[in-house]
Amino acid sequence: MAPDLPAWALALAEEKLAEAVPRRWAHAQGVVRRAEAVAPFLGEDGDLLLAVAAVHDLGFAPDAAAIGVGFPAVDAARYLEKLGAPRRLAHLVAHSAYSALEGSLRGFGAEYVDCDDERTPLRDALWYCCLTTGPDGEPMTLEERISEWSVRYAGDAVIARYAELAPPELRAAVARTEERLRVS
Amino acid sequence: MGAIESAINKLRDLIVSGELSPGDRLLPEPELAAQLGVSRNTLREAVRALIQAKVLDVRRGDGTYVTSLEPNLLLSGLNFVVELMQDHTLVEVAEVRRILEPAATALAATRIDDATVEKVRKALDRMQAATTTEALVVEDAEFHRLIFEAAGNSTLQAILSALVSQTTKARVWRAESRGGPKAITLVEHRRIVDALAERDPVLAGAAATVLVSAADHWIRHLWDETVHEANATDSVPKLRAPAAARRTKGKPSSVAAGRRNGA
Repeated sequence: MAPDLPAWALALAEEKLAEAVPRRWAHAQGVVRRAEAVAPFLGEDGDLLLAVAAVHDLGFAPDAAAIGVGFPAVDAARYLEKLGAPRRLAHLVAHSAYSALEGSLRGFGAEYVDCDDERTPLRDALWYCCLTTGPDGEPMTLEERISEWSVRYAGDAVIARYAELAPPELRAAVARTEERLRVS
Repeated sequence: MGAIESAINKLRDLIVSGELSPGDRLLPEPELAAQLGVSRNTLREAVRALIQAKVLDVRRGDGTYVTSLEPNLLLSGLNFVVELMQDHTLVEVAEVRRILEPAATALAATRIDDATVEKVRKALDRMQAATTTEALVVEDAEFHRLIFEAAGNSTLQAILSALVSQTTKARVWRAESRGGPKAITLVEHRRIVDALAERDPVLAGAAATVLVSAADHWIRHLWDETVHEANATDSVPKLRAPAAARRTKGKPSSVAAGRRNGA
């Protein structure tokens, strides 16, 4: 892993999110703060966690959306690959927080054909960091996050479906990460 | 074109034109050779090749017949071929599976009957109860076979069955047992059964998408490792740096402290 990857990712996220979508930037910074606490437990993958944490919402940046298909997790991954980011980083972004489920419910399943969900401790840790950080970057529990969706995305039938189907797997990823943080 | 290949094409033309139908018996060898204008030896070789391709079938003491020409039969050779593929082509096989399996699963949700839903559920229960990798692979194959069959398209079924061959699956599970917990995969299998039971094609397809995006990860990973080992000196990615970022308050400490500015 390139030693400058986290710094590159953070600078990229700031450039693309800070002004255009400040709330996403606040969230991204909160996720990175979480990642900083978790990264030391991941060994070699720690830097990659920091990098993915910074750019996981890059699909909401106008520059990424402009060349995208209309689903932020996929758009972020495509944009990152275009910029030369490692494929593993791009795939982790595409699959962050069970995005493949929401994406395929929205009809973007085909976009996941060349995108792997690696299902490693790093993947779980990314989900953990995203899911325990609120929309403004503040720490939040997963359960608070889940109930927050129904307010923020009221009227979005797919989010409602996702919020109904995803929690077991979200909880499992969070629990596995907490367990790893305990035993490491 | 060689004489044998030419004879094969002539036999194929007889079937395509409808002169020979599935289940028909071929003329005795001397007559057929004369009709096609080929030597008896050449005809014999051509027939042998078409038997291998499951187009013809010899019934001992009774003659040579055209088979049913069903997709399952004609495509059965695909299985053999997929098992021969090397790691880098397995990435392609995985992609084809990812394209087809969600579509087949969605189709199955619209065509499956209650009895088959129960069979799928029982296969999953046996997967859950499996104590050996081999048992898991067998039940997993049965789980998917039932769904491919329920999609009601024998061509799709034959192609998918070949892609998800026992060999490939065994290697997937072996890799998974090293890295990831099998429980995750079973969660999605469960979700597929539930979606089938509810006759919900969107959810069935979505669950299949999620399942196959994980099941095949190891193949690409394996290939990446091979490539990376071959290009060890090129392992640091060349990144196109964004324009110098403006500093803002409350940024995470990693950049603020300069801790990770290794470059």
